[in-house]
Amino acid sequence: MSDPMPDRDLLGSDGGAAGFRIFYERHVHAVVAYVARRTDRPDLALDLAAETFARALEHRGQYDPSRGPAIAWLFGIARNEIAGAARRGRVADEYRRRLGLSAIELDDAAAEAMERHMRLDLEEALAALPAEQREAVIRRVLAEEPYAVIAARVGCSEQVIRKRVSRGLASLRQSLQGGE
Amino acid sequence: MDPLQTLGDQLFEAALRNRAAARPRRRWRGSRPLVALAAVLLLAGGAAGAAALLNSRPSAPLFGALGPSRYEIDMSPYLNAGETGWCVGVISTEQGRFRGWSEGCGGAPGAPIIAESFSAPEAHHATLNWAITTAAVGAVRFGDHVVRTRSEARLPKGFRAAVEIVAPGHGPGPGLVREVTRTRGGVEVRTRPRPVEALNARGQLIHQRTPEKLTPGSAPWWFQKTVYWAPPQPPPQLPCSIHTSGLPGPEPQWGNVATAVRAIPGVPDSAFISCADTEFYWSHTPLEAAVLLDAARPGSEPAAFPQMNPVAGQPGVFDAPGGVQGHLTGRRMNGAWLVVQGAGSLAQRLALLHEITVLSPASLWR
Repeated sequence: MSDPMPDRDLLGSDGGAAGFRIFYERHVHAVVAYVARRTDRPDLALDLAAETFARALEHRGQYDPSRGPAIAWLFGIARNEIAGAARRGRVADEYRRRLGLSAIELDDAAAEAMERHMRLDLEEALAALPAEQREAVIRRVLAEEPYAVIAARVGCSEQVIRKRVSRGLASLRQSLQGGE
Repeated sequence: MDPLQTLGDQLFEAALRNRAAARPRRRWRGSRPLVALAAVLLLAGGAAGAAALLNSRPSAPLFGALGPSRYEIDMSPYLNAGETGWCVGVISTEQGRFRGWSEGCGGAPGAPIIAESFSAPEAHHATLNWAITTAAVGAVRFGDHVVRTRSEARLPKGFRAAVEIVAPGHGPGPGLVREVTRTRGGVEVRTRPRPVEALNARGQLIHQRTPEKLTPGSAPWWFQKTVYWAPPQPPPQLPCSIHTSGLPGPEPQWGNVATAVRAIPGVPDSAFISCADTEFYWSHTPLEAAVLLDAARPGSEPAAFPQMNPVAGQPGVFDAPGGVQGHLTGRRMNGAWLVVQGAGSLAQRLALLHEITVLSPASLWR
């Protein structure tokens, strides 16, 4: 079996629209699980995920693999969207408007489908990671501590922390996608 | 249809249209009159400080209505071992339902502004600008608006807050700062949006030090060296280590313990430093236990938590709202606080609080 196409290639100019579609499908469940930790409303979770990916599409050229895995970049965008929504009292739609995305209305069936996606438990997926990876992911991705600080706290090199974060996120994504 | 499928289709079509990255990011733009005004203010020097306060507005409370939503800003101690400082969180609710939150922890001790949020005004929705400051700060400048700080019971002693609710379309302009750089060819003058700034009681600027840049292997100056552990290893035999005796339910996941503690100068009396933290999971609910010391004088009795109340039937045990991180339940022990924080129930926090033991934190600083 061949290796999956790296995120940087999917986001690069060669990836095109199809590349972004693969990128979206690869990460959307993790992003929804992430935003679902902050809101239990399916409409808000969908808006947050949509704005996160719209922003990622607009700024895909800014993704820098040397700064961490793409899912960490997406979580960072989602985190900013959540913070902005808390300040404004509503989820921004700036990037969706810019890209011409229309609002997705949730009827009962769609809301139920969204709730099923939201039930994918990020905490559970995190709990299933080896302790070292779990701590690295939580500190770096969720708490946004600098690699240098985590390395100093844990007593190992930054490279080791980067590896733990990267492996932890890969496992997390698989687990949230229902993969092996 | 599955809404995530619909969203994927829409994004695919948008990517096909290849409109991504076609437009620049929204930025503050300085108009000529504003540039001129900024230059005049800078030239005016000290008089500008007085003018700033003269035109200032009072702070809104740390909780209240923001359009159809409600907001709450809270502070709770930063529990990570080796760290000092606070976690500041904003919780948003609508009709009693949780809508979302944002949070940040840490920051350099002694900085006049320890946390802030300043966003561009919205055309159709109210926005919230806020800053948590030390007691030395009399007002905070958000763009062209100056907001006087206030003290509140939900803030730790020695801290103040400036909160501004910005009506739709009435946000503070960016304010502009003129920067003069000497170059080989002469001088280069640029203007840039003014950051959130702390002003003293006379309206004069209090400089906020630029955060130090961390190099690989380095740590912030206030950070205390810690040792990491994770099961199946037991916690290290250090004075501050948190131990458990096997209560069924809470399972330790990892921990950090300080090997020594030194006083941190320049922090308010209410500041803590954590000498140990341990993360527990209890039926997938994360609970964090920590040992907190007085940051300025380790070994002396640490300060009370904001809004803490005695727990009925539990002598010496207190509970305080911990904001985004969940309630904080603690008991004093020999110049330290032993605390448990998390989203679990009070019964869970109490059970864990009575379960954990610490060897002898006092010997860390004696």
